[in-house]
Amino acid sequence: MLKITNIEVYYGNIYALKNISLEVDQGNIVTVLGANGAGKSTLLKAISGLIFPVRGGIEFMQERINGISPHRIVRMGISHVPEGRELFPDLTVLENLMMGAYIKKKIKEIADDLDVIYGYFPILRERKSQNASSLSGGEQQMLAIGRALMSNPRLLLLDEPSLGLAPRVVEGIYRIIRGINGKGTTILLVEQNAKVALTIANYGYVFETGTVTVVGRGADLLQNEHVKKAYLGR
Amino acid sequence: MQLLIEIIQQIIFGTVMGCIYALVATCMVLIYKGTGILNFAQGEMVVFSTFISYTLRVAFQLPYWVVFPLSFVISWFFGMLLEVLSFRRVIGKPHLNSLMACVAVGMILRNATGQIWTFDDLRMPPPFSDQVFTLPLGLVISPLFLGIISISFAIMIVFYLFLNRTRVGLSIRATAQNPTAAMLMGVPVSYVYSMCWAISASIGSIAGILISPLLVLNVGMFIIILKAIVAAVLGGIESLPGAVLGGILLGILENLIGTFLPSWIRQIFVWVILLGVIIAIPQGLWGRKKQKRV
Repeated sequence: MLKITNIEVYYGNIYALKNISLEVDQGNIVTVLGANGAGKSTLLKAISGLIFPVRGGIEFMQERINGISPHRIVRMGISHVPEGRELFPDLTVLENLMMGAYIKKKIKEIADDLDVIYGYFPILRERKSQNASSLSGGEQQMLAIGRALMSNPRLLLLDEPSLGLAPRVVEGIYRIIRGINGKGTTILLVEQNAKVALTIANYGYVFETGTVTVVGRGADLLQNEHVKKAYLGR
Repeated sequence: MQLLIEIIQQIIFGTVMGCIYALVATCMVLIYKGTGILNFAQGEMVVFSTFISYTLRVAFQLPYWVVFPLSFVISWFFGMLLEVLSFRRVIGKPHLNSLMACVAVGMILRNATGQIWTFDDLRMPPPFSDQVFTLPLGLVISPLFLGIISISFAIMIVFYLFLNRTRVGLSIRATAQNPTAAMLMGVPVSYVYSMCWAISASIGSIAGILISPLLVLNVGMFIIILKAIVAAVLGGIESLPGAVLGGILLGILENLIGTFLPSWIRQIFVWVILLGVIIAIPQGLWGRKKQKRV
C-alpha cells in the first residue's frame, strides 16, 4: 500500500532521514520506534507532504506522491494525526471534527461518520460544544484521532498517540486504534513507547539517528535483545 | 436639556463614522487573524476602490444598485491580485517584513491612484439623499446616514454568518488558528490567504462608497480610513466583535470630543488613544491576553 524507497530529508545541512526504505501492507498496523530525534515524525511529515524529501520515492497505492502538497494527499486517502495533536484550539469539538470532513461534501455521509467517531469516543459527543482547548490531554488525543478519521482515510498516520498520557488512558486509546484497524484502516504508528506499540503492531521498524536499524514482526521485536535493552528498559 | 440633545446628535453623527471604522477594522482583523499581517495599506486600498466606484458612477453613469455589487466584485480581484503579487511573499516572515511590504504597497497605490485619476479633490455623489430632516427634539438625520448605518450593519451580519455558519468560513477560522493542521485537513491554505485579502478589499470598497460623499474624495482620504486601525487595536486586534464595538466607540468619542473641545484636540485624539491602548492595554478592550496554545 505504502512503499518508501531510499528517501533522504534534510533540515538545512543536517540530515533527518538518510536512505530510509519501508513498506506498509494493506490492513496492517506498522510501527516505527525510536528515541527522540531519530526522525520518526519527519518520516510521517514526508508522507503527508508537510516536508519534501530531496531524494527517494514515496508510493501510495502504486502512485508516486512525493512532491504533492498536503491538501491533495489527504484527498488520496492518507490522514495524519501530527505530533502534539495540532487541534484548532478555539473551535469547538464538533467544528474540529467537521474540519476533518472538509474534503467531503455529502452531508449524510458526514453525519454517519460523526456517529462512528462518537461511537469510538463517547466523551467527544458530550463535549461537542466545548472549545478544543478546554479538553484534557487524553480527550484532545481522542479528538485528534477522531478528526483524522472523519476523512475516511485508507492509511492513518499516528504520531505518538501515547505522549503525555496516563497509562490507563493510553490503554483505552490503543484499544480504539486496534478497533479502527479491525474495520480495515491501515495504520502507521510512530511511538517512543515501544512496549505498548509492539503489542498491537504486525511488524515494526526501529529508527536510530535517521536510519533503520532493526526490522521485524511485532512479537519478534518484543524479544529482540537490542530493542529490549534500548527501548523496553529491560 | 439642550446639552443632552447636542450629545445625542453627536452620538448619531459618531455612529455613522463609527460604522465605517467598524467595517474597515473588520477587514484588518480578518487579515491579521488569517495571515498574521497588520494591513497598513488598508486605507489606500479603500481609496483605490472608491476611485473605481467613482468612475463607475460618474463616468459610466451606472446606478448605485449596480455600482455597489460591481465595485465589490472588482475589488475582490484587486485584493487577490495584491496578495498574489506581494503579501503572499511575506507570510510567516518577521513583522518588520510585512510592515515594510504594507508601507510600500500603500505608497505605490497612493501614487498610482493619483496618476490614474487625479491628485485633486472630487465630489462623490451620495448613494442616498443627504438632505437632512428633523426629528422630534430638533435632532437631524439624513437618508444617507440611515443608509450608511443599515448597509454597514447588514454587511457585518452577513460576514458574521459567513464566518460562523458556512464551510468556507469554518476553514478560514481553522486556518487562522493552525494553518498546518488546516493543510492536513485538505484546506488549500494559500487560497484561504488570498480570500482574506479579497474579502477585505471588497468590504473596504463598500465602506469607501458609503463614507466618501461625507468627505472629499482624494488620495489623502486614506488617512481617515486608516483611523480604523485604532478601532481594531482598541477592540483587541484579534476580535471581530471587538473591532465593531471599537469602531463605533471610536466614532462616537471622536465626535463628542470634536464638539466640546478645540478642533486640534480632535485631530490628535485618535492617535493618542492608539498610543495609550498599546501602552496600557495591549490586548484591547475585548481581546484576551495571549495564552498558551493547545
